[in-house]
Amino acid sequence: MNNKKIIIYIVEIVAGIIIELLALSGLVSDPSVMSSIGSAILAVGLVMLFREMRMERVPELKKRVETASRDERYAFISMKAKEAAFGIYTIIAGVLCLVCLALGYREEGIFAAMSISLLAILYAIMFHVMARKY
Amino acid sequence: MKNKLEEIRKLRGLKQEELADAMGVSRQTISSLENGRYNPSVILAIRLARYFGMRVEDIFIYEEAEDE
Repeated sequence: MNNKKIIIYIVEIVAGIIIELLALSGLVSDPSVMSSIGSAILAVGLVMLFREMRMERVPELKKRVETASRDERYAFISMKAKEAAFGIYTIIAGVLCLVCLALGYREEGIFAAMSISLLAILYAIMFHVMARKY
Repeated sequence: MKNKLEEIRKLRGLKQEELADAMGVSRQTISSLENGRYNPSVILAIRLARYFGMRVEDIFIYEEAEDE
């Protein structure tokens, strides 16, 4: 078993429980948000720990997961999916921005516009970073 | 890009799973290569060629028209 990974998942579970307890104690200003974050971290830790333990019991599954992690076609598909998601998100946010502004929801419209701007800036930065690398 | 991968694999009496294991890729990748849905990286193409003891161009057929 990969002890390093197990330790990370246990840390996630403990962190999730602590955040959840903080939210329940009422010591934080926004308990519902804290509770959601705590639950999410706890759930991710539990799922990953369960997955790691299951992989140890089922060697076939372990082999399949390891192959998938280095399979070049999966990496290609993942890259294409991210590219498509990026394009679709930009269109949706753009339409949302125009609709919100037209209907008078100024704050929401500006938020949508800013998210597109952030994506465009991140893209430009990453393009230059990748261009230096490759 | 066309290829003769399926033909060569079957001639050697190999299953897709066996070839996938030897190449360290998934069976679906071998299937996609054989169907021409996915073009391999240079590294995978060379590894396949070496595995079969052939040249890359004996397995993969590049057609000029693909660039147009």
